[in-house]
Amino acid sequence: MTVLSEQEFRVLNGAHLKKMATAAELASAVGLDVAVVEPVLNAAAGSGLLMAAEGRHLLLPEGTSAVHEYYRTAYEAMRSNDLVLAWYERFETVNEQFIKQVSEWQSTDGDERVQSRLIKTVERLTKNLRELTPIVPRYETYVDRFGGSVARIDQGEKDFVCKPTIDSVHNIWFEFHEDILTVIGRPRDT
Amino acid sequence: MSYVAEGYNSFETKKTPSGIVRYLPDPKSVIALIQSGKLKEHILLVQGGTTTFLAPALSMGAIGVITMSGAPESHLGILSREFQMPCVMTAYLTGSESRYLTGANNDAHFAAIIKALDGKKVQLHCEDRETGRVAVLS
Repeated sequence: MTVLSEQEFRVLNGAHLKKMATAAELASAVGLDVAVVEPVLNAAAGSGLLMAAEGRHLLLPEGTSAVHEYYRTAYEAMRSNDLVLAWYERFETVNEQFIKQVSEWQSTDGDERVQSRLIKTVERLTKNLRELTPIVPRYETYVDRFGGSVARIDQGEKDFVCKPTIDSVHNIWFEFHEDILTVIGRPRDT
Repeated sequence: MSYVAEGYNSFETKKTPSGIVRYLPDPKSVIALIQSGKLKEHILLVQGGTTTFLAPALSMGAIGVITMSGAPESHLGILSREFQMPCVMTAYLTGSESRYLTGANNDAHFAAIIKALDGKKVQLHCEDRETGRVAVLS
């Protein structure tokens, strides 16, 4: 089993959550310089932890195991932390609301009122995330990313709601959801 | 045309993708399919509607998906609409009374669908607002 350093974890966890991402996208998502991210990706590709296809990176099963092992070690205490578990229960409710709002936004061709409700839900999660950042400092990057994408939506760039190929709020949400589930050690639905 | 399976339609589309059904049980099988270079020859069959491991296949150009649970209001449903990739969700066999039940043990239900579809050449029909359909071509 490969044991990851904190920096390797941040980069490879980014690849794990984003699934198919360029080095630049990963650097931006995890809040590191691309000059730091690239050597980690190259080394991981060399040791069979990830594959690269058309400049995009995807973790291989051994890479996923290494990332999961890091989560297990680093966040063991959180898996029985009542505050964190209660936070997650509240998140489930907000998550359900968000998914419905994105679906409604799609089916109404980006209705402004639906969009406004959806942004409020994102802002609610961002506010709630502040309760977790003292325990998981890297969650600051989600706060920053949500803030950046909401600002783009406010400027009329509707693609930042849920286009899968950019840092849309749905993509960020999707990644965060998988992240918090792994932190507390819950499997996601297959 | 007779349909072997149907389910919720993720979105209305005139696209009728066809291909050999490939059941994908885990992330490893998704990676193997991408690495084979034959992703676009297959309609992908998966168990759930929040299938995060399917995301790389979607971004690499998957042509169609059948799920055995999950709703159009799910991460996968949202992504399928964004990628404009036809997606039949919570599919069941039209010749069977068996249906997916939330919270129940659905193993036999899933196994029957996999047995009926995996390896078959099918075509997806998703022009109806509510129902997505699966036709066997050979």
